[in-house]
Amino acid sequence: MKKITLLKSLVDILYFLHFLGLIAILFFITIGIISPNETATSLPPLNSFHWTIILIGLFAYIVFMMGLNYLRKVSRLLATNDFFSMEIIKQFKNTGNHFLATGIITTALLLANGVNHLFNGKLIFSYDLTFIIPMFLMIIGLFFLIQSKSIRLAKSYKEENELTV
Amino acid sequence: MAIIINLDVMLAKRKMRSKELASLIGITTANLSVLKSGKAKAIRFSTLAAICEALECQPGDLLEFVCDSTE
Repeated sequence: MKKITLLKSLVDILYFLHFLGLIAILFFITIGIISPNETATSLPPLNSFHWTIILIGLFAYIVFMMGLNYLRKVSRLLATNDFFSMEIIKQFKNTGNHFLATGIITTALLLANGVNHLFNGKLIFSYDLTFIIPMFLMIIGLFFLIQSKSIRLAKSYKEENELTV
Repeated sequence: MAIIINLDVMLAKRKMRSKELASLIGITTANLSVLKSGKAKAIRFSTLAAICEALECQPGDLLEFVCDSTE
């Protein structure tokens, strides 16, 4: 029970921090109070490709936030100790789908950026942590999907066991 | 369901009440009711053996297979 409470608290804190970040992004970029062109003076002006990347990145961030919100719902349901409810199965599946989608979109963005660099003659091979987070998100997303399926199976086994005389 | 439980028929034949059978074989009346109503998904061999012993019958007297498909 303590672990579930801790999980719930951590997910709530993470969601709150990300929500603040999302508001900041929408506030600063979309409304145009601070333009990336003005703040990042060392960067060249952003072209349509960069804006597309930014918008898709923002979309991926919103999908991630939705996934995080579903995870909050899961942790709240887990706190009720009803592990085999259909609602938990559904929310686990939603969380997994959203995290997986975020991972795939982010990986696609990174690849698109890499291809863009290639066409501009700036191909650099280096070892960094850029791909780690999208990969981790995909793994976590798949894990939640498998977890959802496991709980669905466990629920049917439990029902079968309860109806065995 | 393809398997039909004829427990109530056997109970009537033996003039025995469900409560009596439940206490004889050591299961709850609720579980026996699940078995009688056909809601049970499975039956343990030990339970079946106990019922057969209590009712002095064979498993075939209690269980019946009925084909579901209507052709």
